[in-house]
Amino acid sequence: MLRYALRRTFHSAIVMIGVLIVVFLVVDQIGDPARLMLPADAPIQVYLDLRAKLGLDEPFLERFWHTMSGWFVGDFGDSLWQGVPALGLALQRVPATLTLTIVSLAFAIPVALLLGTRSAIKPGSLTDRLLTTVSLAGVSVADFWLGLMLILVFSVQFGLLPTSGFGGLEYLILPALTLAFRPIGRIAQIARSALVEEMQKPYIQTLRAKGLTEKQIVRKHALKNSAIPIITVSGDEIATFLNGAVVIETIFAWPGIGTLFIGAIERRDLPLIEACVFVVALMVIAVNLIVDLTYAYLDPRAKIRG
Amino acid sequence: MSMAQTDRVSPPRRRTRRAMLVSPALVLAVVLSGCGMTSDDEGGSGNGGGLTKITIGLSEEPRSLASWNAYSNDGHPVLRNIEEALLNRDPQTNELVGELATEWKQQADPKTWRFTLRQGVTFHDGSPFNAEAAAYGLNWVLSKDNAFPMRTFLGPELTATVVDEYTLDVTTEAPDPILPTRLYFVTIPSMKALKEKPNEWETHPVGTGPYKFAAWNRGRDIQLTANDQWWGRKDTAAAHGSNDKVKDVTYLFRPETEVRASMVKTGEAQFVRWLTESQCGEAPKCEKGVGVETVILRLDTPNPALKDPRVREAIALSFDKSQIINNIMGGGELAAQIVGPSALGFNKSLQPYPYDQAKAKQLIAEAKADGVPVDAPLTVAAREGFILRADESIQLVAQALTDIGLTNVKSEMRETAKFEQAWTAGYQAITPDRGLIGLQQHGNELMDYSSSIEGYYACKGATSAYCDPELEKLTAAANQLAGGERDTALQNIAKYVYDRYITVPVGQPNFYFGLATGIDWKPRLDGFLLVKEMKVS
Repeated sequence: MLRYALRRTFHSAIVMIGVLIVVFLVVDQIGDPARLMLPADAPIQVYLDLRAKLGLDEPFLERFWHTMSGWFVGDFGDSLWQGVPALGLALQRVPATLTLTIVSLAFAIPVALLLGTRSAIKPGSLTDRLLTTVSLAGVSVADFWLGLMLILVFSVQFGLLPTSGFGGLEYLILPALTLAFRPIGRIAQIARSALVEEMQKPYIQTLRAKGLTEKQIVRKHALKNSAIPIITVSGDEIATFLNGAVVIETIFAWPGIGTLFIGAIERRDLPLIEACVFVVALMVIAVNLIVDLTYAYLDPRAKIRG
Repeated sequence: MSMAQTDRVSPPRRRTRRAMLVSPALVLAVVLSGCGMTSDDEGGSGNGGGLTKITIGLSEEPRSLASWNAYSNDGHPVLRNIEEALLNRDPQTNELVGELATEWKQQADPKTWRFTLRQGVTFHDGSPFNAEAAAYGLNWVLSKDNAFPMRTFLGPELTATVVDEYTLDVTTEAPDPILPTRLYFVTIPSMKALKEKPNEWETHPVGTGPYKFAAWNRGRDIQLTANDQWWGRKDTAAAHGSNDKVKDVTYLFRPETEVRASMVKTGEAQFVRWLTESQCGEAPKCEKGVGVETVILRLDTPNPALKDPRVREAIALSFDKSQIINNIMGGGELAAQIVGPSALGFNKSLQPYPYDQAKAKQLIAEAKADGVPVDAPLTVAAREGFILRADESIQLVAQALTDIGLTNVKSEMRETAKFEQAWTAGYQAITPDRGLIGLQQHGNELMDYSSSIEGYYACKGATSAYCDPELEKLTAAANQLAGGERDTALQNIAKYVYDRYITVPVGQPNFYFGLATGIDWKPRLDGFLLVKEMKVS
């Protein structure tokens, strides 16, 4: 298993370098950060001086080599806009991103499993239809709208929670709740369909014949055997969140990596974009590795080749 | 056996299951929230009873806290409370007044201005403010080698030199009659801090102002504390305010206007900037005012259709400016010039272009009859996320242009970099087939019309889509003048460009500010948010 983990990490590192190169090539072609940093009517000479200071007037290959050689020593350069090391700026955002991701999913996954299993036990029943509607609403609701509604109700109307910001538990509740809605819906739907399929298999009939209740069958047998698609979707949701929940971060002023990343792209701040890509990629690689190892744990038939 | 029966006979398992559902979120939240996180400061002591600390809600975080960023909308709300410039503007009259300088005068050699500096001023790090510190700070912030964006407001290159301890000469390469106006932007950082802690230049500002930098938690907040040693505490009149009550200021950054509006309603903030008209109306207290920003349409004059003055005039008459400013953008003043009354060179005699669709149609018909290609492709475009409801405004304009007979018009919102690339191409790079009619907000921060002329009407202007040798001559002559003569010359240029429909000024939109009831404050024309000017009760 260790060999497998090392090999996956090695492959991921190669992919990451490829991604960083592509990002460099694309960003280099789609806009001029010096022009964006200045007021629109800045004189031409001021613009040219700033380009020279930022090194944007150097030949392409020189800039590329200079940038790439920094990657291998963990130096992504200074953010063009903020004038401080880009990697440090990206890393500063990791705790907030991880906090929001973990808390949202720690809330969403159990709730989604509860909804999914209750639906799957009696497919087509009133309970199933109600819960399916709830999960569909979770997938469909616009998080922008939901976030603002939660602020209006819990902060403005009742004064129970702060509108936005970052800090103690009270600041976490609204963004985590808003963010949890979509995965609740999505994972509940996957859990339901996986369980319904599992519950039709012959061994389930045998278990019923042995006198086990539906609940026991689901909890002790079917849920574990249908866990693979649930784990896959959950891993997918984690990876999405680690990329940054931009809308939620914007509404609640949550200092995650998403808003930093989007801001860097808008401003064509290449060092910061590269640093964000690097940090997000590291987190996603780690999550994918954990998901793969979880597959092996849950299903011994899924052999890991080292 | 039913599920309910199973639950009844297995209470311990039920508790375990519930715990399984609830505890992960709770435990992780508590553990992670406790990992080095502290609560955001919720600001003042409420809406009444005397505020000793206030929280200000802004839409964006400063990109830098270095002095070079003291001109920008993201930088000045923080920096102008920490650092001071040689000059400021009177909050009521908008006249230039002394801040760190007490007198200033152009010398017999018109390339030199002499400034007498205020005595008894110290930087927050304890170092003295004198001519040496002022010269070092100015030369650093405006250095060609450093190439900071603040140089946008610089005219000819300058050098500051020490005459004696409290006398400073600023010499420019060519005479600059508006040098004091330019220097009103340039805050002076501590020479000691620059020399001893150059790595903190972008993050730890050290100035002479009424508030000292305390902390910057990136992505979260910036905190200031009162500078009890500030010179203005003893000389309130000269300082144009000294807010002795407010000891702590916290800035929070909330991009979403609805959230900023909620913050001032709940008391999380005592001052929030840039709300919509309706949001401001729901705040405990609302203030509004126009600034130095004017919404304009700029026409690509190299285009074969837009080259014709009749087509340009028709465009100017074709749409209802009041509809855009008052109904779409939430109120403001209609404009006849790309600068407002705050700028030297503002011509009061000019009236906003009227809304006259019939005449516009007639002009297009005449142009068409003379062979002007009124079916040339034209694009009405605006930058995403910059002007309030710009998408609706450009759709309105595009429809109006179609209605008057320009048959190939489309509207398009453009991503920031794409829009700016087109907007700042310069006259020489605009190809005849482009046909861009850009909706943009122009700010004349210098409050001198000459900078807008240089940008928008000069052949080599960064944002110019027009070139006229006669206008170049008029501009060059006006730039040599000062005072009333300069004002008159600039007003004449305003009339010149008005008659040629080079740009179509739409209006100056209002900016709305939500305040707690205990704060008395009026917006300044330059948009600065100076806590010293806030009266609290």
